[in-house]
Amino acid sequence: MGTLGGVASPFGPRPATPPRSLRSASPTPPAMVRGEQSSPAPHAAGLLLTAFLLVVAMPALAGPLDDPHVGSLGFSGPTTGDLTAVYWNPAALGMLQGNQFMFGSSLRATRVTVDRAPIDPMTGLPGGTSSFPSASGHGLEQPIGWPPGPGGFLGVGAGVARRFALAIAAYTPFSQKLNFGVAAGGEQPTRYHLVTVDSRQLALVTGLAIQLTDSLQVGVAPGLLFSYGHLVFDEDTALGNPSASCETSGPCGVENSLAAARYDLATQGTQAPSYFVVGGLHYRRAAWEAGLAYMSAPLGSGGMVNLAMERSQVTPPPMAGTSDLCSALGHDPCVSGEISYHLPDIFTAGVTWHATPHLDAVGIVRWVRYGSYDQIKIRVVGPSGNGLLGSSIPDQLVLYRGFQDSWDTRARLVHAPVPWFRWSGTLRMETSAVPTDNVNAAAVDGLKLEPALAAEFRLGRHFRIEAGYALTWMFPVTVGTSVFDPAAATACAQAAGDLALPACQTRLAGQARPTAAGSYKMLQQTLALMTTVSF
Amino acid sequence: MFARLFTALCFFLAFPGCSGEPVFEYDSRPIALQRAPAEPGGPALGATLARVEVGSGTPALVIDTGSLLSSLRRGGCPSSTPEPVAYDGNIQLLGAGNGPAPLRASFRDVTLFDICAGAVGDANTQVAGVLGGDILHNFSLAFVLPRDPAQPATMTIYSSLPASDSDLAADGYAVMKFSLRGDTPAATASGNGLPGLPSSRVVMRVCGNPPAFSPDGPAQTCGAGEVEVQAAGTNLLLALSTGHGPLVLSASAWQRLGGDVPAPLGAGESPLYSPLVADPIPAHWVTVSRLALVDGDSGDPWPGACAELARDRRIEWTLANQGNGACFQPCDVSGGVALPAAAYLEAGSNLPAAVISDTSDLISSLNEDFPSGAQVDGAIGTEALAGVHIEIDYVTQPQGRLVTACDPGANRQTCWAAPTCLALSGSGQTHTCFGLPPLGFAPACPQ
Repeated sequence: MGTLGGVASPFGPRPATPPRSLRSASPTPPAMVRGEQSSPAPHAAGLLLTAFLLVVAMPALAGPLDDPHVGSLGFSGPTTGDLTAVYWNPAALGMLQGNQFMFGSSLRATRVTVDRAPIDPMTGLPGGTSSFPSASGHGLEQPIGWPPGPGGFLGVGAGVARRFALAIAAYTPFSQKLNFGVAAGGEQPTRYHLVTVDSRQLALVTGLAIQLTDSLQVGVAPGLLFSYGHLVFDEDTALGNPSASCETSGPCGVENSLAAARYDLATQGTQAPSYFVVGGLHYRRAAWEAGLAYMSAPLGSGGMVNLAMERSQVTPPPMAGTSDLCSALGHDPCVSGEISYHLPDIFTAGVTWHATPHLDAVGIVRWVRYGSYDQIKIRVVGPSGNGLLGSSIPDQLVLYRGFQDSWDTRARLVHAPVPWFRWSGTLRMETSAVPTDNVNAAAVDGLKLEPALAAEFRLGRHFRIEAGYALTWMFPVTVGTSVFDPAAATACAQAAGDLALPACQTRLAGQARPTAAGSYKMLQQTLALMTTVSF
Repeated sequence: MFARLFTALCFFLAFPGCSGEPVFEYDSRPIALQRAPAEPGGPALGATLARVEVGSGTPALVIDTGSLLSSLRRGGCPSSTPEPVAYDGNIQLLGAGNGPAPLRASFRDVTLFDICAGAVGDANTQVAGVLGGDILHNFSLAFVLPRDPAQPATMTIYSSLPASDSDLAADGYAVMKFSLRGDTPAATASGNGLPGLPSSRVVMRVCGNPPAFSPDGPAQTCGAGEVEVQAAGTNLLLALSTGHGPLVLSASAWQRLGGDVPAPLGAGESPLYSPLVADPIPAHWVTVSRLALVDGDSGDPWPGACAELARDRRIEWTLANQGNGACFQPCDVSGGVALPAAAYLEAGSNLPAAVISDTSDLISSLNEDFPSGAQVDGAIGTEALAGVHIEIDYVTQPQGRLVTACDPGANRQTCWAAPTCLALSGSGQTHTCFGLPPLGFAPACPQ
């Protein structure tokens, strides 16, 4: 075991410049490392109270798109001086000393349960006699595969002359994966909002940090964002005219499977990248460290991502009399498409208090500006001469999302009882990115709580291995009055699409779809592994 | 300083809502349109018309892809033509319908000219304004122009056309690329500042009066280097204008097509009513047997629309008769394999055309930005495109695209859209072209 200033270093001998926190290294060590206790070690109950207050002071849990655990589940944050700083706060890269390589992956399993409220089969409005079986959606996100899946982190970097640090890293800041299977009786209660989604944004970034003074560092990490997407949902082609006949079964009504056209839209691998940037500040004084960072949405496009969906299919509804748009052409897929949506920008702030030589208290707040994620716009182009796409089957769709900003707050204790081992406990809370009325199968979110545990072992001088587990529980959400109004589609169609009418504005916004009233539950489990090599 | 910084941030970050930008609202669903008469006393297959809200009234508005500017008059039209005045205003576009006209699209804070547009189609069809290319070039616009006047025409506004040329060709669309023309610098007229106008005019390469063709007909031979010799028809440059009904030709273009121009031109005949010109234009009314819009001019050297069309037809003939031992003509071959066949749209037959003077205001305005030597010969109106589905994709860069398909069930004599046909480089490959079944490699004829 090495010592630093007479105080045991958690992970053995270190370079001349002592570590700033229990994991990171910095030129000016905090009190707990330097052995300069500026205040008495707080009582454990006090620390827990602090942690609790940090959590409840701001509503907090990760939104439906972003990965709240980029890099590490239990130790990373805006004041952490390792390679994960390219995401959390590039300024903290300045604490890097020597060379470092990090490789990690996480496994995130999501289970969503949707119990839709009964509807009136002719109007589609809640309160009728047509009931639905419970629907379950599952998603397993892991980085192995091509295009690279979410949950992975790969980085390499080096500190240079104690003034600069450089790094390059790849990670997935945004992802969503969920698949709703067929429910009891062969029904798909969520089909008009979501059947399957697999959305990934892979970031490839370079980071640079500069130490301006002994206590202040700045950093920037410009990067490219490669996108992949696969989205499957149904469109009720009779929604504008429920009294129309569905073959011999009488009026179609609303949510009649005979009138359901399926859209299966996918990119051909990853798309040409957009660019974004992360920038931040890191400040330290005595036993305290603070970090502030900003991650932009895609630049130059107003935060918009446009994905060419080159592997797309549109299956006409059974009542159309043909099951395939492509058969006459002799090639499949014969449909091209494009999806457009906004990604949020994110502000991140964090504070670390090195309470004792063996104990850190960490508070992190993320402001995820989901407010811009309002709609997904879709256009598909199909074969000529068919006459279906663009007439009875829409070739332009808007899927309303209506997200709001969310706050992700977490409190963490990091304890290093021996030099070769440390562990952390984190309690995370995140507000919903989706207002209750806007919740649907494609956008399930609510107030979330997440306890997490992580442990890190040092193996020799150069290797560290970290493992963590988090359980995310969403307070059940009950949607009474859904923002989705199927009657608006009918009213707008009857008014010949008059945009001066509220019903047509509802349709324009993508809200004239089958209702999403019902109850929603979500549970997420995340298992993460990370390897760090310092040399 | 702060304002400049804010403007720079607006540009760099593309913040939505940065002030001063026009606001467009549309739902990308078909907007029902009315049609003006194609010519005085003719069928309602002419210019595309919508309604526009002006106070409590809803006068007609012509949608004209051939106009570089949009206009909406704010008062009555004086007897003398005043200097044009530009202002920021709104166009609330109303669709046609049986009941009250529904609001179908809104263009707010757009630059409009306070001028009086002329009549459209005939003297009775007066319009209050023009929705022109300066606004339309922000979109990809789909038009359905039925052959039957009783069927409503529609226009659909999309933000883009998200399909590659090759995907569109595989789906049966003839895709012809274009570069926009007609940008006009800002000017000052009588002390009134007039804004500049962006390039927004679509000009197509066209072969006029090509001979009839059938793949069942006799073979056309073409030796090496004879591609231009074997061309038939007359090369034309025509603007695409949904504000006109008939095909509009300059007198010189009509003469190149082999027609006679009476003197004086248009005596005793109905004039042409154009939204681009306030006064009726003397016109001589004729018919053009057929017209083919051909993709190209990027080749070096490009043989011309008629030579390209003739090559397309020879390639089609070879493919259709491949089973009988047909081979590609030497002038259509390079390196032992056939050249790609360019996409084209053939419209016919016996298209009404208005022949007007080369010195008319309409022909002059179409040529205003063209360099000397080049000549826009007229405009393709909507009657010439009856039975055709077109999408004018202004948005795709670096060149826009005119994407065309014929009405389902159209016969070849009235509408034929041929997507580009890529050549095969060797045996073992197949391609699907000209509506034929998948075919393998065909050899080149001996020199």
